[in-house]
Amino acid sequence: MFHRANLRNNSKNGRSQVGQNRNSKKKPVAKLTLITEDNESFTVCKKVAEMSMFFKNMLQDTEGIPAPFIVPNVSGYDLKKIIEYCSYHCLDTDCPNDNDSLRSRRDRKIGHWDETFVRNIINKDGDPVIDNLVGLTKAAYFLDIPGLIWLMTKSIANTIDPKPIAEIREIFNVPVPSEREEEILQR
Amino acid sequence: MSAASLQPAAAGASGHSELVTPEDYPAAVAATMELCVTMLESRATKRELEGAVEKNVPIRGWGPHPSMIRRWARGLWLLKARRGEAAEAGGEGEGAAEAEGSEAARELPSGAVPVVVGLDEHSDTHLAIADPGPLLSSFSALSLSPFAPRRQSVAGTVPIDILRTIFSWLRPGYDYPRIQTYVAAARVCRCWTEAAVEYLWENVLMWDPDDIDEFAKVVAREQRCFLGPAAPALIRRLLIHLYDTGEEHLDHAAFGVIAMNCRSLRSVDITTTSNLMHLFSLGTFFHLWPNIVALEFKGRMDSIMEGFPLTVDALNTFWSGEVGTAFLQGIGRLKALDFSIDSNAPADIVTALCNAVHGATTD
Repeated sequence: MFHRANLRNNSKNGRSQVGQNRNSKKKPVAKLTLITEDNESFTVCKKVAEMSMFFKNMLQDTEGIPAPFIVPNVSGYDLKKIIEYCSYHCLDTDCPNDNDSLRSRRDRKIGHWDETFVRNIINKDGDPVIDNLVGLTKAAYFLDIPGLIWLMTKSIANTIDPKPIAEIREIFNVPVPSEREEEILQR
Repeated sequence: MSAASLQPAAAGASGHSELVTPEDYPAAVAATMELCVTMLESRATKRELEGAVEKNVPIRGWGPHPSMIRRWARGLWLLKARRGEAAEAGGEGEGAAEAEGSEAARELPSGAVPVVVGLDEHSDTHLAIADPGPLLSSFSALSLSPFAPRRQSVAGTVPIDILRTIFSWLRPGYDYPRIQTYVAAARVCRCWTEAAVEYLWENVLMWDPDDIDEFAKVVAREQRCFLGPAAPALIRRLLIHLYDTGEEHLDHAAFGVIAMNCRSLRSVDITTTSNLMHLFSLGTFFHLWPNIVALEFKGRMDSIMEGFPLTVDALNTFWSGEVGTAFLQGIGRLKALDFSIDSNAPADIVTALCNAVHGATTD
């Protein structure tokens, strides 16, 4: 109950930040439209998109062209979650978003917002959560968001860490290999 | 199996019997056998194979063209249809099949005949053979059945870069001291083995002199072990901690083998409280792999080699030799050094040795 309350609170915070950016009339905020491969479109402000090195480089290359970006390899759900993450963390100076500082701070713990963000990744189409975790990690890799890659890989690592092999297989839905396959695996 | 349950399968099979012509039957059988052998030999997983048959996509890391797979699948289907006919014909059909396709008869020994019993469990759209004979046991194991879709395991779809990143968080020394996790991860599926083995062998820790001998055998591939491809080359850190494990000298040959095989070694950490180590063994690491960046040696040493105790002459000979020179040069390149000796040899010689080692760092 405690977590849930916090979670709602946090996601509201995240959304309200985006809202502020979108609605602020005083300073025109550079916005861009992203269209995913399953034809969902999102409008985000530039600062949020620049969390992704992929968009950052692309924005530099196509400066001044107001065309919407077509984002291949990323589904609408994944992009929604990515935007949620980015809009929370684009104002967060405490969270490093480059590979070097993430690598040097290996023992960094997952923050509270991040934890609820990961826990909030829901089942879609009846798939287990792990599918979405992996899908989101792949999307984060594609869009090159070091902070999110760190969060997702660390969460998956925590998922598999102290577990025996049978449990890991169950989580990832790996069919139990026959004895022969097992033998080949061990070779 | 009742006769009634046998009927539909046999009828279904004979319904398609126009596909089975005497010309393509031996080819189909040959193709099927080829598929059998390739499947057993290839490292393609069950999932990959199923996917390949279903979608006609080439299997990663496995040669044949999609059209070949289709041909094999068809060969398999033909084989099944043929068996359906054989079942229909009963005992005589068996003889007829042998007469018609001598190749098939040769390929399928008598044990294959009971296969038809299982056919009723599947409709004739199935490529899987329910109760295969001994020769075709691999088919049941791999259940080559595109019509029984199963959700693809997500483990196999994780790219290796992401896996590497995930496993890097499990590294010992960073909150996760359990090597068992790597062992488990490496055995989850074949796609994971490659990535997990890299980290599994990153640090090697030994607590017993026997471990060193054992490990030397493993890296020399004299003894079978759960080793991934090129595992000894993945070892970056060698930790040998021996506390009160006997007074013997540590075998130089074992160290020689380890040093020779572990070509990415970056850090050597040796602590012994009772066992005696040869100076030459330590030098071997630096002689072979000049890219070692850290050395921690806290141990006992009273000889350079077997039968060469620490004396002034022996030490001078060692320093002027190839290994000794490489040792001193290697120490000069180190980024971290911790070197202390406990020895029964005369104090001045030990001091000379320590001075030589520490002097090398300042050069």
